[in-house]
Amino acid sequence: MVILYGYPDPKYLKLYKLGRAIHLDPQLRERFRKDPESVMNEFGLSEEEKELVRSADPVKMFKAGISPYTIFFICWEGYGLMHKPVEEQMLYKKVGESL
Amino acid sequence: MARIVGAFATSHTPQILVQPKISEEFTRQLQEVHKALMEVGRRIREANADTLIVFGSDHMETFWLNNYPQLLLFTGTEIGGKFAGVELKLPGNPDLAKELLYGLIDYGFDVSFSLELELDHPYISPLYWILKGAQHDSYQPKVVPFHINSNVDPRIKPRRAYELGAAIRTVLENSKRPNRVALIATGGLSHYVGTPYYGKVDVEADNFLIEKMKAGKGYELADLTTDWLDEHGEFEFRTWLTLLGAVNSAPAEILTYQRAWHAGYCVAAFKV
Repeated sequence: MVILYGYPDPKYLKLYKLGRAIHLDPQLRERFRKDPESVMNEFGLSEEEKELVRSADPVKMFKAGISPYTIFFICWEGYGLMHKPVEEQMLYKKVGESL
Repeated sequence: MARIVGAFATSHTPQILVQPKISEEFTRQLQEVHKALMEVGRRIREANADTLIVFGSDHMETFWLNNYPQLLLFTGTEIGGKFAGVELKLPGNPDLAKELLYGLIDYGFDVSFSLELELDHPYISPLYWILKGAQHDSYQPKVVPFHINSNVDPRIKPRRAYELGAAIRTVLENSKRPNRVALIATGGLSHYVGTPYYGKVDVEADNFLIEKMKAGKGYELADLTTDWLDEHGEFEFRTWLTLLGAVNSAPAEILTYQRAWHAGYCVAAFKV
């Protein structure tokens, strides 16, 4: 296993800003749920960043080098994974052991 | 001198406040954590602590990538924050915090300071329940948050975190202030938030840390490495190490340990 909570890759700065805003601003979080494309445009995300957010896939985002906290803000809080059944949230059971 | 009259450590997950209704078992486990945190509050009040120094670690919420501190002490007059529908507004202790800041610089710890902070779940999740347990008449402790970077690389080394705690103890002991201080560390235990390992809880690692602390051998844990802490989901144990240094590895009493689906929840009291 590698260091999990690494140095934030500067190329994803706009994505980090989006994640933090989703965490801190309930209204923006709601807008993101309804229309993620327009919120991503507001934050000026690159096409690569948009693809990662659209995927709603924490594993894909982690492998790309996104900070795990940004992943949590976007997937668990933004897309609402936190309120899904435990089995859906437990990535380790699904994919972690194969990493 | 300022006296350390209590020392406690606790998990700080968002779920402690959000309380998502995802299973009966998890709801029951959270209730056990709430009970333990309120017991911490009761003990703090019983010890008549006038100031809580809270070691927490930000997750790019309070602090941002325009200026991300390794160590930061709140030295302002009022501290607050909102999380999960809870808003806290608490008095700080600027006099004691300033003395601690200057003292730590003298001991070689180049700690940043802030007069203004917006707290997030690392502080609000546990403090909400602790202060609920402490509620009694006009009892109102002052709160001094102390950020120990555990979550964004590069992070303070475990031994350095322990040594920071020892320096905090020395500064408090040398102070002429009459404050009665309770220390609270927040974070951990084993969890892997936001990673593909989410849902894994390294109970063996949790037990290893707990047994060392119960035996009064917390000083041995200062030898842990950054790699070990990440590998076992124990990266936030840095805040606990600072507390262990501050109480000279006093033995721990475990108020609760709950192996939940995503984290090892632990609340501990130290025999100071």
